[in-house]
Amino acid sequence: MKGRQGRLAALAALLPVSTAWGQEPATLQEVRQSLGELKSQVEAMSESQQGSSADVLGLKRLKVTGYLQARYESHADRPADAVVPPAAADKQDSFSIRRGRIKFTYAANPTSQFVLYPDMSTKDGVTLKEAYVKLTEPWSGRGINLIMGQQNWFFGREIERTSSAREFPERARVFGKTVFDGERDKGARVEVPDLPVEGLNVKLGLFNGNGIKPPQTFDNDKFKLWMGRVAYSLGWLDLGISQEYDRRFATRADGSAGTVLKKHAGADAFLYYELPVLGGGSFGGEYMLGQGVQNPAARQTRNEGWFLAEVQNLGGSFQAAARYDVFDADRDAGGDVIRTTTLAAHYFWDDNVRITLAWENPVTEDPGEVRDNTTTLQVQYKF
Amino acid sequence: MRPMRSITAGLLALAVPLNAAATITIKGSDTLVILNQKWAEAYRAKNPGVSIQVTGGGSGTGIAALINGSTDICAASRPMSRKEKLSLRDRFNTLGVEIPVARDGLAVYLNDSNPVKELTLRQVEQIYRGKIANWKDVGGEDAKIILYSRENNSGTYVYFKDNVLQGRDFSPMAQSLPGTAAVVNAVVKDKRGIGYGGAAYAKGIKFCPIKKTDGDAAYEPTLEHVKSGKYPISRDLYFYVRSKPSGDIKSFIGWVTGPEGQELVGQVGYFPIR
Repeated sequence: MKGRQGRLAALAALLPVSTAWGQEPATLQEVRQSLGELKSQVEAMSESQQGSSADVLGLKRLKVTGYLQARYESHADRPADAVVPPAAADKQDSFSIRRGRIKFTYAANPTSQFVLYPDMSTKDGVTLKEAYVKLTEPWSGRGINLIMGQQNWFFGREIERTSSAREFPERARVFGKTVFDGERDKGARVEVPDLPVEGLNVKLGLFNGNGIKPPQTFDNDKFKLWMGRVAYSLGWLDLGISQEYDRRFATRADGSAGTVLKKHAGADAFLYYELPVLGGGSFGGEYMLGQGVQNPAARQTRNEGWFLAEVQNLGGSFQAAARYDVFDADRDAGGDVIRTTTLAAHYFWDDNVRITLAWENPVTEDPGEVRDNTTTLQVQYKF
Repeated sequence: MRPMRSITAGLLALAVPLNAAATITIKGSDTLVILNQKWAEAYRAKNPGVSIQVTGGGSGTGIAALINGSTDICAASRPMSRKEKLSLRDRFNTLGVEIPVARDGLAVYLNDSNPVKELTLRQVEQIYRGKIANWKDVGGEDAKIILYSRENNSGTYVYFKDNVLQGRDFSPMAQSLPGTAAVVNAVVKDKRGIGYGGAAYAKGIKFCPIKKTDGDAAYEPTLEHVKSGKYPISRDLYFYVRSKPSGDIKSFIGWVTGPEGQELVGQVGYFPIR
């Protein structure tokens, strides 16, 4: 310390002399001083940048995605002077927000993930579509997942596929509003991807069995719904089989109340191909056979359904799609089969926006039932 | 039948000009940016009617752009993953077309003054996982090893993690930098630094010779050693397009993989595919 003070005193003694000799030494000192200041500033900036980097890293762990579907629907078979009561299921020609969803995914490390997925477009205000914790085991290197919480059912391809990617405004009737109404439930699933061969995906789940739609979104019995799916993808060909099994208190086929079965088996296959100039396309379908529907108040029935769908890209910005689906809600009763043809054309406006024009023509066996052909114009923004 | 024919003809008429791009966009790998720019300049000089826009951002960024339709060609320094291919299929009903356009020896950069003469693959792995933290443990001076790495949207990062770190995580001490040039720049200024990246970025640093195992000889990422497979960290560099290329894109890719395009590969510091 003493030596340092001595050196500083010597420097201080030299300084006036140096200054008196000329401008050069003083300038050098100024340069040194400026350099010192600059160094301090750079160090301060570096520290600040390190802080910002930590903040950015934190933000990168949170992924926010979502989409909004603004829609106009025209129902050809409803009289122009008809006023639909507010509580009626059928709508008159109208603008609507069909889906407005934001998905928050937070992953601080590769072995766990938090997902919250609200929908802000329902008539009940904000509703929760999905909320779960995903754990990925770190030992096998295969990424076996355990997902627990409110999540998608995984029966077939159509149910699990996000509405923002689907080529038709609504799911095929066989899956959409009947057997798997709401498409989600509370429960747990294990996913085993790419074992023992790449492309093989096995899922096994246990759910409440009540879905997420009111009135009964909690489990009121000890029965649970088992679901399993085995799918294999070659890239150009996807194959899958699914099974669900549940028991519940409901109305039996003979009208009495008691324990009934809800069980279904399904199979799906989709082929992908490419045409010169036009681009990629796919053709495939799903089949489902079983008994029971999602609504516990509904009478127990044996049901069956299937659909075939064709999708063709037309260059980079256009896409055309057609689907024919058949649903027999009660195989033991006559006249209730609904056959629906849906045609859709898409224009991809930019990276985020898809504009869809679709036409749906449901035909029932009952001649007395009102046909409800619907034309839909939809603008979707996805990010 | 007649209206159906008219609709089909109309759709085809709409589709054809969409595939014939007057401007070709290439997005993705920072490793390939220099080479892409060279290719674009040379190709434009020969074909003034074609405009080629090149941007970097990393292989992950390029693949995302290919999936959402905002680039014609994705440049990638790693193969597309199965998940990425399925995402592409979800939108375009295709799995993409992979075209190798060059080879690269993934170099391990050391500061010119670093006395370390060679490293084994295992040592590089241990260094980047933080298990070896001092240069003296691998024949260097008694100094802390400073790790420079890339961000996780980089194909180089993914390739290095998969093939050198065997899929294990990088040390939390590794500093993520936005591009290969930034990694080289950091190692140039830092005697204790180590980095990795394309063999084309060679200014101011030295390539560390790498041994497959203790018993093997050490090799630098030269044309001879990369071609013969003696250099243990070499990879293909790719172009990805959504579907089988046609029109201007087909012509450009044909030129890139042909003799003229491949001659430029060597000039930039990478290695031709044949």
